[in-house]
Amino acid sequence: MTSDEPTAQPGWQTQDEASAPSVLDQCFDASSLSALRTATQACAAQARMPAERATDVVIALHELAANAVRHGAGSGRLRIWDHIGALYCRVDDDGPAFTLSKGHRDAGTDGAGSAGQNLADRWPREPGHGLWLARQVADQMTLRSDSRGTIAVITFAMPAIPS
Amino acid sequence: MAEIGQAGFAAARLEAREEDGVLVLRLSGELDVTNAKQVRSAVDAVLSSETERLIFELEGLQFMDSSGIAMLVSVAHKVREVQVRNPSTIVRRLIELTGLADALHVTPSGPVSLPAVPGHLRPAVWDASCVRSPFGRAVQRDAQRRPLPSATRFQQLSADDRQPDGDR
Repeated sequence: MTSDEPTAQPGWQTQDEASAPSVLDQCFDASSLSALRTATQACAAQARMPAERATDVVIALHELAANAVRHGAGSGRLRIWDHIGALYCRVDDDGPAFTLSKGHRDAGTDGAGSAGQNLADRWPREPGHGLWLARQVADQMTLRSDSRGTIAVITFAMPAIPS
Repeated sequence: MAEIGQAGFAAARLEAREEDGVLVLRLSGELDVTNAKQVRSAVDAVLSSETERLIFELEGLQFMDSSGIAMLVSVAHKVREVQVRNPSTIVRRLIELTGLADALHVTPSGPVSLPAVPGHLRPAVWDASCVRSPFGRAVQRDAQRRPLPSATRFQQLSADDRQPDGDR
């Protein structure tokens, strides 16, 4: 990645993302995962996410960030948008593509790791695998990875507001 | 007692004591990928080959991630009986998600699933067809998930969004 703003990839930004300002935009590395969790918790509370569900948001986003720290570039950027009934969260890191081991490939239903597939759909089920956890608690999760980095987008629907 | 973790990173504290001949490990603070190895070493240091029962007291553990779960599973493989006592909300939730509540003898027991909240996106109806967790146990999963508002759904990310480049 050669640009000054490696995570600003217009092709990956939807109209919704572009029009709604992010409520959290924070870079992280191993030394700031704890602070990232605190910020995420505050963000979910501010968005009036119920406490139990806010716990899930923290669990999922920590696992995505920890994955970037441990298996990706070692650092990354988390952005959260609160937009019409859902929290949209995006974790970017500039690390290399996820390398699928034999077990990982076997876990896929279609085998090939061709571009355009959603890695989250066939992520390996491996003990302690944080991405498995993230996918369990999220309403929607998309994971893209290539030689230039990884982008995870995860969504949590907000509870309906009582009228 | 051992303080585990560097400045800025997750900090955990481990206190070991005996209660009626049973080893009790009180773990507090935060346990994540940045200090899991050290916590594991500290736990191993107080275990002996004779340790048959072990109680983890986790009410003071404010955060734990998948590496903490991996640590608990690993210890449970070594010690005949491992019990988790008074887990904090987030630890309880992790144990629930991974289907380890029985294996780790979580006390107090009772429903570990999220309470049903009116309007909450988690329905109180559980899918009878459980999904498999990576831990070899069945995990209950929501029968249905509240669909996202279609107008706000992220665009389907296509392969075109990232052109292949070989000059990295």
